[in-house]
Amino acid sequence: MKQCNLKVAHIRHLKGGYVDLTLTYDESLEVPEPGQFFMLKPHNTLLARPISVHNFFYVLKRGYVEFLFKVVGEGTYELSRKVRGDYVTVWGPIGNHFPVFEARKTAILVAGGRGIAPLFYLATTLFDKGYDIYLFYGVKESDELVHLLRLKNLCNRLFITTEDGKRGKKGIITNLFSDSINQYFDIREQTSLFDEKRARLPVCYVCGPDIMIERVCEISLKHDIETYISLEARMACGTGVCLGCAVESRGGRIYHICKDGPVFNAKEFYCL
Amino acid sequence: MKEFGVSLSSLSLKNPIMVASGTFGFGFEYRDFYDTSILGAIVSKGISLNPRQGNYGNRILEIKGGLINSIGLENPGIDGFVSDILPKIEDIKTTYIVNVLGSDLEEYINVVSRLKDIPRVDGVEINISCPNVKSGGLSFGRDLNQTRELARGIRKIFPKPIIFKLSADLPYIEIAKIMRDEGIDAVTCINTIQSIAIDIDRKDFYFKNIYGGLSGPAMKPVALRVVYQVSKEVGIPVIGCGGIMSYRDVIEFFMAGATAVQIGTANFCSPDAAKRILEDTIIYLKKNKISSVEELRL
Repeated sequence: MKQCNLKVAHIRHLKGGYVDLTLTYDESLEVPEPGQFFMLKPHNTLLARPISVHNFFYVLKRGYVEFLFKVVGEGTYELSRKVRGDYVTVWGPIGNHFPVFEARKTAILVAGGRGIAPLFYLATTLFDKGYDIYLFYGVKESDELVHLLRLKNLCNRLFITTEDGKRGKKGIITNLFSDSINQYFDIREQTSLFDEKRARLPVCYVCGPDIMIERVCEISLKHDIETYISLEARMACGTGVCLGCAVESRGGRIYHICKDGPVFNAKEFYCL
Repeated sequence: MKEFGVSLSSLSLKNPIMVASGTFGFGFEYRDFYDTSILGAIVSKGISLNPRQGNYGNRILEIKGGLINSIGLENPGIDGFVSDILPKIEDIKTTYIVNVLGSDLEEYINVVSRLKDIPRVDGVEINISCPNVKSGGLSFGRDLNQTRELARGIRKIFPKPIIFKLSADLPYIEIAKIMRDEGIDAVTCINTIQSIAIDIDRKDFYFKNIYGGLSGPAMKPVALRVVYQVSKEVGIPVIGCGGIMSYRDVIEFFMAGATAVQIGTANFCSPDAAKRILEDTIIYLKKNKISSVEELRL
């Protein structure tokens, strides 16, 4: 992990208060893995904001890191006012990452709201590895749906729900996920057919509001699908010293999201 | 930077910039960012006899100009410190001070007695703001007789430098006088200030334990007051601590009477904060031809 000032290469203001901030990467930083995050320091707040890597790519051998965030308070507002050429102080990449299994070939991604941010980068990585990707993506208002064209390109199927019903199916993503999972993946059959070849089973990756994660994990774990969740918490430092980002596991153990996470096996937090 | 060394009774530091307990882990965590051996001293996360898991629920809240924490003294305990932490800090080449917690006199004494034979540990800083089990959970330092007994007890068994960390919520002048009389080397002024945050949406206190500790720039004027009063009225070396974000804040603390300072919350705001503040302070001292920080005192 290193601290750097990165130059704003591109900033786009998307619908629903979302901002897509692309920074020119510094070669001294490690290449981020899907699921990792950076601390981005706004000038007007005391603390930096933890924001997950939305994408990482090269153009003409130069690296770029992309962050997708929603303006929710003073810090994210200040970051959203950056213009091309400005600098942002960052440190990272921080934390563990989504495990990507070479032997598996099917991934189910479930994103709620800004939970799409790290899952997009994961989707690009899985796509490069030849995975079949099924993305469930739910938002409150249809304006919040971001990067639909890019996502359609990456995914075999894209399931969308909006609570206002203007795009996709009206309702919440957990319901669509629950309804679809047997139908499209025929999990039970697969489980019995490939009991010895568990590697053929899909892997599920989830990021979104806590309540959505909980509901999705209940369903996926019931179907015996290996599930990984990305959690968030308020934190002061991102370096493992403030101990502010503690979460309690199912066994009552305290984990720190910046050091032990942000990605966890769902079984650490949820059971059948 | 040797020329800016300072002495606080028997504690000698190569420069007056320390890092505060709880904001720098155990010192090895920030090695990715810079060589932490340049610091005057590192004060570790508080260590208790047994491991503590810390508080459940919200632990951190940023407010205007400050930070409220309710971490709950999470730490690996003295055994965990010896087995897991010590090997990682052997190569840190600066003064290493272990912050010590306790819920009663025996716990403090037990932890300190385990630390006294560890060569890497150059001193201890005693946190007396912990809830005292025997006084119904009030801060240890509330009971002046117990505080005196604690200072005396630790002084008797620990031959290396001892610092006591005072709080603006406690009768700090009386406590500082006790420390001076019991041969304690220095006092750190001040610990976080007890605070409350309320979440009007949840219609509840923000922290499960109701109270948290305020740190950051918002507390600096209070810290300066305590440093000024203690250094003026008591005559014990003072380590200033509270909301230092830049070298200018450091100089303010020197002017108020501090001999050294601790950088706390700033370490969270920027991992290289203490390094930057140290470098800027040295530049200031050189530029103004100040050979000893005492010259700055108002």
